[in-house]
Amino acid sequence: MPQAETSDEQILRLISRPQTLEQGFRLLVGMYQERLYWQVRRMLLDHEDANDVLQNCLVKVYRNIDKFEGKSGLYTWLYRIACNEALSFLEKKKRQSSASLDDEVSAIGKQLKADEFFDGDAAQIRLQQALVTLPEKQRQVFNLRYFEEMGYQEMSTLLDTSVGALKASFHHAVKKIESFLEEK
Amino acid sequence: MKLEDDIPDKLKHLKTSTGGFKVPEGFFENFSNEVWQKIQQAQVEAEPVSPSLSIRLEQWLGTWFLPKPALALASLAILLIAALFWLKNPTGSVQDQLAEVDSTSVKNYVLSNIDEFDEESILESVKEVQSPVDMLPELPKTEIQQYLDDAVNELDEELLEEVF
Repeated sequence: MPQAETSDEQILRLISRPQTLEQGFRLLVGMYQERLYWQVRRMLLDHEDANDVLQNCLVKVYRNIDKFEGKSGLYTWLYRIACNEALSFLEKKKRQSSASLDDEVSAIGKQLKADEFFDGDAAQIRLQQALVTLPEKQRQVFNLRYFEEMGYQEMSTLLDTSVGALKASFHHAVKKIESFLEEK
Repeated sequence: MKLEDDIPDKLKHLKTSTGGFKVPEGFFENFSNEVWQKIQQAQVEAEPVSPSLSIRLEQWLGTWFLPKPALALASLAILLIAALFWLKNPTGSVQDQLAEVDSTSVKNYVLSNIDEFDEESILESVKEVQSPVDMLPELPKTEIQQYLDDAVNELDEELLEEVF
């Protein structure tokens, strides 16, 4: 994607100069905000949580942009920071709650039904409930493949995992989701 | 590999671009402003408020008047003053200092402290002093003889009888 690479370079060049720092950073946010938001939202489900986590993530990005060495693509770097932030948020939330997995599944159903920013049907709520039962890595792979339709090669770079392992993870995730949907 | 090949039919019909999730209207249009505002807010909070010069001076002085630094500072000041005093008024030998004392002061001191000296010390010091006879000027023998004769003639006879 030469255009995206050029854009990243332009953004980083603008960010490197104090007089164009704000312009460059706003361009970065504008370019990647939606992809990053949906990744975080699918992990956290709630809009307010996703909004807070993504804003905190981008504040961290701003503070540490000089540490970006360009070894990976800019989006890969942003995605990893966003994922780490979201995972930390989830872990903190889990520590504060003593609910079992069944309770969690049930709570998510109720939460999505009441959420003004969710307009999915019953089947889509069931799909989200099924996703909660997956291990984090499988859930991540499923979201990238199923919702973003990301290719395995790109996903391999993004998650620093071999293509074979990713395919296996996706396959296991699909089987578990099918089983969950058939079960109830 | 295409997505269709990966996903079973049961899941294909559930797929929508956002999975049923929505965002508030205008959310993405305003998002970069919100982020930028948060960055600026975080920067203001991170920057420490610089105290005024008088407050900084007061704080700096305050640290020196805490018990430990104050004690250390006082000890150092005493040492410095003593060193300066010693450098300006270097002490010489004991003999040099005694040479500066006048004879009257020495006499007064010895008389007022005579009881402090033991006999041996006094005798020892007397030996070092020249005898009064030695101090007499050299006189001709004839004059001495004349002086002694006159003295004998002046003696009372009764007294001499009593003595001998």
